Amino acid sequence: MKRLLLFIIIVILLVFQMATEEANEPFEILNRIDSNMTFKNAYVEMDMVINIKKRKIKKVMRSWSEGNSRSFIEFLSPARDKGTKILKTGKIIKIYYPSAERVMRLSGHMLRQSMMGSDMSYEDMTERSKELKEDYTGKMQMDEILDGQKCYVLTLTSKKKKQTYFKRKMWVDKEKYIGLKEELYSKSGKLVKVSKVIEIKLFKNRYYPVEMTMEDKLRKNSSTRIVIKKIDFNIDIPDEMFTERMLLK
Amino acid sequence: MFSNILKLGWKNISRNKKRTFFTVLAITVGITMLIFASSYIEGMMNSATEIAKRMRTGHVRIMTSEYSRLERVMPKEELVLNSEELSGRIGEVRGVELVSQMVKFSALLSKNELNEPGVVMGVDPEIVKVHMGLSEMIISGKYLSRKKKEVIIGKLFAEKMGIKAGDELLLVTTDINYSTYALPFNVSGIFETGYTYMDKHLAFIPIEFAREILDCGNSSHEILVYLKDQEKAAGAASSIDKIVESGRFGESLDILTWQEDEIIGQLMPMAKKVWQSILGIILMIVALVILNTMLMIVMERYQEIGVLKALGLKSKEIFFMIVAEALYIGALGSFSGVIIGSGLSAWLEKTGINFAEMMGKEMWESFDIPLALYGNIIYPDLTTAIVIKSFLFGLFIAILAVLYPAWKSSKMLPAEAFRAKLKV
Repeated sequence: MKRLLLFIIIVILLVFQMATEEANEPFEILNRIDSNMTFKNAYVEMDMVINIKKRKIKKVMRSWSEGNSRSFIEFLSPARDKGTKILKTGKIIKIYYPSAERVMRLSGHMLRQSMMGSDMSYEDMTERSKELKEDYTGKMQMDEILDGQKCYVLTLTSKKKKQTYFKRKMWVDKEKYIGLKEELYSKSGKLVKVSKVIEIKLFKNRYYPVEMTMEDKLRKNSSTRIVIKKIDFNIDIPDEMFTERMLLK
Repeated sequence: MFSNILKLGWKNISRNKKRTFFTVLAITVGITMLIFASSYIEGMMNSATEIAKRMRTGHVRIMTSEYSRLERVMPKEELVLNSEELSGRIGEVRGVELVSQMVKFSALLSKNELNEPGVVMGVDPEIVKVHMGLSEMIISGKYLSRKKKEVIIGKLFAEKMGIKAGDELLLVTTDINYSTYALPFNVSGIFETGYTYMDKHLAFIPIEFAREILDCGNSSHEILVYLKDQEKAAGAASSIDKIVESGRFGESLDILTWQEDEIIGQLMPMAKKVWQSILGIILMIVALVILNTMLMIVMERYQEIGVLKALGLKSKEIFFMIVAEALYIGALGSFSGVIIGSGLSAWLEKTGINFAEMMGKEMWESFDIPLALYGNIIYPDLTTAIVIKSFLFGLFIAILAVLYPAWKSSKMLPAEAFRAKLKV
């Protein structure tokens, strides 16, 4: 009887240890974040509020994305932005300006420029479904409590030499596996951007942040808030959506 | 008596022609160098001030104080409001010749697959033509016309993007409300100013389209005012100040005369000091050369002076004889130096010194400094003051050089002088 009890205790301890160990492993944490954040495709309606020099500028937009490779963004307001459309395929971004009735093509370092005057770059906005575990290796730091929420703290280093954000520091919600706060660093170690999640919602099989802010640390007194009004995961998007014809339509 | 001494001095210098020639030559070369260097520095500084006034400061410049503080980043929202009305009223101020409004912003200039950031200047083509002289710098195509969606760009910018006159260029930027706006423009012409920064980064468009892109009504970032007499800038500034006070043209406007400008008022005097210290070194070298040759002509003649003394010349007479010689040689050398130096400077004043060619184009074009004030051709500026100062300098140094040996040799006894070898 005693032996059996001991055996059971040992088994329980082992299982518990294994479970905690598994969860502690950076790769596993990244994997769980990725399964929340990445999607096959999605349709999103959102507001973008830019806070700069005591001013608030609100823009309304909607987007269709297919994984991390293709996306299409359309601006609905304000009046001067209405009809501006952004198409990303691969590493190339094409922007249609209704005022000029012309398409401009951006690539390379231009993708890191501010999108429509916000703190987000074109890259930030169009690569929201990026898998972290593919590009980064993680290292655990001491756990911290962020706004009353227990968090794993991870530092990520890029596996590739060329990466916009070469290093990242993430505060990951221990229950929901969402990066609540993130500091993004350039290769030289300079803090470039800070993002924070304000609200997380539970969808069918995942948690997803529906309100977040981003601060471009290279700009003074500015931050941009994104509020997702509607999001549909894994819907059918016709191939035609990601063509230049849709830009001009 | 005194005229005899002067005659004797003259005879002395005409006696040993070779010695006189080389001494005069040394002074000539020195003074030529001095005149050339002085008029070169003068020309460089004047042309820098001139170009700064034409392109940047006007005679009086109006902008918001925030814009003036952050000028380097070109804050789009720092605007002089109701700029059209303000310009109209400034135009009525006495002594005002020209009022030029400008809208300035950074933008992305795009052609097909190529994008390049640049600085766009929204201007009135007819007014800018007068104070910047841009229409004369067009090297291909033609100058801007009013009310047409046309752009002129710098030569180096055009080369970098492979743009020719007649091509279409898309201008994209965020407006004052952080909306992104784009307009296509027809490249009407390409200009070359010789200033690398301007040729590499600037694009000019008619002001109404700049205002459309920025969505800034009829305001502008800067108003440049040109006067009939630029020395009356302070007076004009205070009249303009009264107009600004009386209307709604924006909060805290800076009204700066060209003398108060950061570049003309602070940077250029500093640069001038640097150049003047270089001139100082040239001056010292010239002085040393003259001193040396003048010293030699006295020291090698101690025995001769001994003979003169033995013949009955007084110490005073010996002294003045040597000074007189120095005066003749100094005058001759300075005079020919002035003739050659002035001739050279006056000639270069017409043709200019082309640095771009001397240094090689590539190297010149790599000097991409914002607000660089030196063009690729520098025209020396010869003034009467330079001529007179240089002449007197040559004369003064020549005389100064002989004072001590003249005094020393005049005090020597004939016997000592006979024995004296080449030492002081």
